[in-house]
Amino acid sequence: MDLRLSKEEELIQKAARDFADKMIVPIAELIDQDNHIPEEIFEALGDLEMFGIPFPEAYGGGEAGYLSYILAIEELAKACAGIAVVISVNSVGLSVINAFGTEEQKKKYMPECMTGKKIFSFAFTEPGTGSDPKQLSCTVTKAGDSYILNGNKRFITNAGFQGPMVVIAKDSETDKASAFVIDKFCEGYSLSEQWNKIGAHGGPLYDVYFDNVKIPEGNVLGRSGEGLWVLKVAMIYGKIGLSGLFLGTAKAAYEEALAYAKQKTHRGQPIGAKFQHIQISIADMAMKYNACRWSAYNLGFTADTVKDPNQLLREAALTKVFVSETAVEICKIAMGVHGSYGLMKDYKIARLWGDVIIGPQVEGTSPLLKILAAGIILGD
Amino acid sequence: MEFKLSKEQELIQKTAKEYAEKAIEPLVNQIEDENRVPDEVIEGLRELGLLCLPVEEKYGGAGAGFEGFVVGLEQLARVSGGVGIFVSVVMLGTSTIAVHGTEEQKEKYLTGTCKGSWIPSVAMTEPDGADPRMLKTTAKKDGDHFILNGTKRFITNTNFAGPMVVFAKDADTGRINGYIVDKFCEGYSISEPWDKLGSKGAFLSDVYLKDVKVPVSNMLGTPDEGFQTLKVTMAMGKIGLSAIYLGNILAAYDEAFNYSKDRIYLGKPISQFESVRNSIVDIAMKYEAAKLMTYRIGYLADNTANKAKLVKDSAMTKIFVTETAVDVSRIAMNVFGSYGLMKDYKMSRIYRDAIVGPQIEGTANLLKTVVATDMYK
Ligand SMILES: Cc1cc2nc3c(=O)[nH]c(=O)nc-3n(C[C@H](O)[C@H](O)[C@H](O)COP(=O)(O)OP(=O)(O)OC[C@H]3O[C@@H](n4cnc5c(N)ncnc54)[C@H](O)[C@@H]3O)c2cc1C
Ligand SMILES: Cc1cc2nc3c(=O)[nH]c(=O)nc-3n(C[C@H](O)[C@H](O)[C@H](O)COP(=O)(O)OP(=O)(O)OC[C@H]3O[C@@H](n4cnc5c(N)ncnc54)[C@H](O)[C@@H]3O)c2cc1C
Repeated sequence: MDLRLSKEEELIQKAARDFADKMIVPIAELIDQDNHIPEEIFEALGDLEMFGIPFPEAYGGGEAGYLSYILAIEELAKACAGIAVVISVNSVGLSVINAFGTEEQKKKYMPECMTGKKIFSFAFTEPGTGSDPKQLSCTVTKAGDSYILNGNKRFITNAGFQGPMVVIAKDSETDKASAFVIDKFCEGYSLSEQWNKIGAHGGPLYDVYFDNVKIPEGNVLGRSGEGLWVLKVAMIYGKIGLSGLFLGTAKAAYEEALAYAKQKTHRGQPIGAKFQHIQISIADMAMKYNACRWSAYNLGFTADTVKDPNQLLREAALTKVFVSETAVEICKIAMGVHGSYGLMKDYKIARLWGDVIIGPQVEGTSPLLKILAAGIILGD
Repeated sequence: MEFKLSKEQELIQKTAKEYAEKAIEPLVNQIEDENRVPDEVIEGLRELGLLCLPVEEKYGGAGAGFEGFVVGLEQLARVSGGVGIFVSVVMLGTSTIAVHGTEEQKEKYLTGTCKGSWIPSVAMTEPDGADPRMLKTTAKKDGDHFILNGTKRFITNTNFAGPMVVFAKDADTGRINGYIVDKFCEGYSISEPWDKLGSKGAFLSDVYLKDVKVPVSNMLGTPDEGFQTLKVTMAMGKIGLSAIYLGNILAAYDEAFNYSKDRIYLGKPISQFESVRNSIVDIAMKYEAAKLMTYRIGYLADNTANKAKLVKDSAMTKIFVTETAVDVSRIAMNVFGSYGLMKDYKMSRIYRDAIVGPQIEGTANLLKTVVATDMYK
């Protein structure tokens, strides 16, 4: 076992960290307030090749694997959860095109979504279902050599950016789910107001309405009727991104608390030097962060080496649950170190408290993912 | 032992619940956005006796004791964490004056609060921290006045007229005492409000005292009683916080329970899933434990002559209830899936409110050192 990062992995980590420190940290507070990420950031991230890390070079990617991807997401999320959400969901779209797309689809969609100018969405959740594909109510109806898509999707990230969107919908005749690629803002595509969510501001979230959206037959992704396979792969890669993301939030909380413990004094002495309970808090956070880190990095390694989708889904689900739940614990401890100051918007930990609770609530809640993983384990 | 509310306490509970649902609930978003408790709510609370529950009747209070107080405040805070803090700080000011004030001070300030239009504050915390040994605010004797100078941080209700109990160090003797300052007197000014994460509505700012002149008769207690006054204030504050975050737990419980019945999955409510039912039961158990502790501290406060003795028990209750509120929020959030993250759902506010409890009136770790000192003395 070699737990060192490779030269390439170190380079990617450093590139992401430097960019985050220089370009994101100074505007992170503003992004949080305005709930908006400036477009230049995406283009700069595109130039830095942050959108395509794990994808094949043939389509413009870095072919550097999912461990590198997690390292980069961690660094970006540490500075701004919203930016990491955008990249993470973009990568879900890229992952499923990469896995299921025809040569033509790959050529068309993959390179443009690695530049930062076009951004992918993946639309599964609906008002009636967040976790259960059998409940889908978006439908497609065959009409000549096209499909007509109707229905509503809920809580869709990146829906307000130009670019492609993968939609999971049911065939009105066969009742089977298929995946389709559409262009956002095509005719019949419209959006709700942005949802006002508790954290990860800047990562835009909308409901999407499809009103007789026409999809050419060539835009079916994978085989017709096998949309649930596409969904499964999306769920795997989504959880990889989220594991990296909330690892970054955990790191940010830890670093904030550490800095505060050194800087805040009590009768002339830093609280970190003076009070044992602050020292214990620091140690608890460091331990928990380490456990999250190895768990997330291991998931990246697993994604690069394991092919069995059930095994990968199990690992991804358990890692996402562990990292996101532990990140909440770390934030709680970091809050304790801050005293009342942590509650004020002037301190970063107040923002992190809103960001961190998103982890256990998205891409399947923790109880649901435990049930899913247990099913795979018991079925082994 | 009797685990029953009295008739009077039941009435307080019912009155507070009905008022909160009818008059506060519709204004909750406004209270959050404007970060201010509306005048009509303050008047409503005053009229119903909910603003001054533990104050003696002869000063215009409800004379309901602290058990009555926690029972009522729980219901108010269940609807609005901001209103909860607001009312709790009114109690803090009036109780500090009630315990240590002269008859004249009580007549003036308690009646002025219960019957008049005043809203009290208590100012302990400073930029250096909340530890009394670090106080920098000074009181300098000058004839029949004290001259107060200093900065107080994170003080609630500073925007309302009324008495503020300011803890300061005597410039000559170094002793700490409480002084009643009339807010907005000459030399009193406040900062912009702090923009806080949760429990919004209770106005919070820093206070600047510049050569504020306080008559000698406005000192609380005798010069050597200051530390006792402080202990009483610390204990009372924790009783208030316990009740507020008990209300927060109850709110999370209501929300999660109702959502689990309303959200339909595969044609049946999610309350049919074992994992969801487990979560609801966890919440219910934690609520019962927190409730028993909170009602007990109310009972203890009513049956302890020397209120300074309540420091240990009130600290333990405050730690337990506020930490439990954060746990419960997390469990309830999970019942909601992603919907709980959206501002449109009350759950997102309850979660933001919950984290305020452990951070104020002494963090859990700090309070544990206080409790331990008492246990090992
Ligand atoms: C910031 C953000 C970004 C998002 N981005 C996207 C996106 O890009 N694309 C997309 O498609 N979706 C997206 N979502 C949606 C998100 O993935 C779902 O909302 C999430 O999976 C949870 O679904 P839900 O909210 O409907 O919860 P529900 O599934 O309704 O869960 C409610 C409760 O019921 C329980 N429950 C549900 N089913 C079962 C069961 N079978 N057994 C036991 N318990 C059960 C759950 O554990 C939970 O406690 C996003 C959400 C957010 C907040
Ligand atoms: C909404 C709100 C309302 C408030 N209302 C009022 C009010 O009306 N009046 C008022 O006076 N104050 C009020 N406060 C202030 C609040 O009570 C204090 O801020 C709080 O007690 C914590 O103090 P601090 O933030 O300075 O933390 P610190 O005391 O600086 O604590 C920082 C860290 O150091 C540790 N620490 C500090 N001292 C010790 C010690 N002696 N031993 C061991 N560990 C220690 C703490 O546990 C914590 O982890 C309010 C605060 C808020 C947010």
